[in-house]
Amino acid sequence: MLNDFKAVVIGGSAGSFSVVTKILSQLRPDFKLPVIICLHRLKHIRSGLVEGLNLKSKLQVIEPCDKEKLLPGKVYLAPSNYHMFIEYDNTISLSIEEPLNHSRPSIDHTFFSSAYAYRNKLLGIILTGANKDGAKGMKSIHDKGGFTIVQDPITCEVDTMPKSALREFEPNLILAPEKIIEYLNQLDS
Amino acid sequence: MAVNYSIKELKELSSLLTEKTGLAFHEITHSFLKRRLNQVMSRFLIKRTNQLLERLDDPQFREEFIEFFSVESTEMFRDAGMWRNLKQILLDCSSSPVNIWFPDVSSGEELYSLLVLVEEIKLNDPIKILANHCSSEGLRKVQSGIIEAKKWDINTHNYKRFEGICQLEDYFIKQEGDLKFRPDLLAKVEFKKNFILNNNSLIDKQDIVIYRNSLLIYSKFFKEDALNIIHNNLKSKGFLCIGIQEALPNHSENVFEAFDLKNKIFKKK
Repeated sequence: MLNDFKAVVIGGSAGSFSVVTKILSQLRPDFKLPVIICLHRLKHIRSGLVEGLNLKSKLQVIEPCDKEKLLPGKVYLAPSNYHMFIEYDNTISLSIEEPLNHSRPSIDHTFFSSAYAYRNKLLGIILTGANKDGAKGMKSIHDKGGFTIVQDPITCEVDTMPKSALREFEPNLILAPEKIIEYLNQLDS
Repeated sequence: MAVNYSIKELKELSSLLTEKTGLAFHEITHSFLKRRLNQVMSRFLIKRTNQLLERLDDPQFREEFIEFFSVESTEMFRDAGMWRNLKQILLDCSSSPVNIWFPDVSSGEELYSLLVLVEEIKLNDPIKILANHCSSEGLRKVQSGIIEAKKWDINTHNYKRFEGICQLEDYFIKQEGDLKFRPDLLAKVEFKKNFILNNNSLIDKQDIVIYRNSLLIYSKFFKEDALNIIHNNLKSKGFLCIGIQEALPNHSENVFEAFDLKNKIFKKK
């Protein structure tokens, strides 16, 4: 199963920037899967986040344009004030539809669409955060046979998001950030 | 309860919806189509897709269904930098009249932003604005000028970033608890029901086309067709504004040049 993933999808909110930075800075440079990231962010600050992540990341981080194709070893960050969806043909769709869970981008939207596109070939990770966005999306990844990792709430700056996910379903793993990195790096990608 | 469509089912259903409506449902991205179908079926208490197809024979329901696929949620002066640069383009424009076209005025806020901008720069030359949308109901909403009160904070914030010279409330009147865009400004617009792929030759060539984020719900093939039509209706050196996270197809480099890449304003070659 470890060899079969087609993508990794990560969601997070309050406190997650430092965790995502840590993950991206310690991922193997030859990591071969596309990494899709949806973080809650300030809608009117368009620049800064992707530049900040690129400073530390071993993989190239981009804010994709609509209909961009997902490529191995690239990191796709949901742009500010847009929802980000994954289509079954391995492309990204953006949207300015209404916020979901008071959020645009919404983690649930990215997770639901990724689960539909990749089913049991998807690895979903939910990190620290201050609302329940992403919890139902993680459950949909779980329900479609994907592999799920929830950040250990003890290690979270704000534990609402992982605890909301844990109320929805039982994940495959509950891990501290260091262990999430270890897990990703041992995938035979 | 959400319906779980397979990819094959979605493809078949979208083709049938295209037949029933005359619009390009088969070119809508699957993620968007699935979400909206679930919303529409839940709202109209429809349990099966064959019931939906039967109901589409009723013209009134068909109109409501089409409007349901409009993406209404945007903001006035979204991406303020784009509007600041558009202001300069208008100030530099030497056409008379200046022709501006919205091929899909789905939510109104983009049109209202332009009308505020035009009012503030007080051009000497007349401006002709054409606003199209594929449903009569959608056009009626935009023409009503009503905006949601919950968007007021973000609209005023964006207006400040646009560096407007008045107060945004100067452009609205209060009506029964709602905020309504000034009818005297809306009267300057020609509203016309039209779907871009169906009637694609305008009488006047356009100086500026504002078509931001409407193509997000469509496939790249639809996008190519729509952009060809826009190109044909633009004057030489005319401007095209698309959403800041949209990209032109690769071959468009031959026909458009970047004028302001950050804000996605292109110029016809």
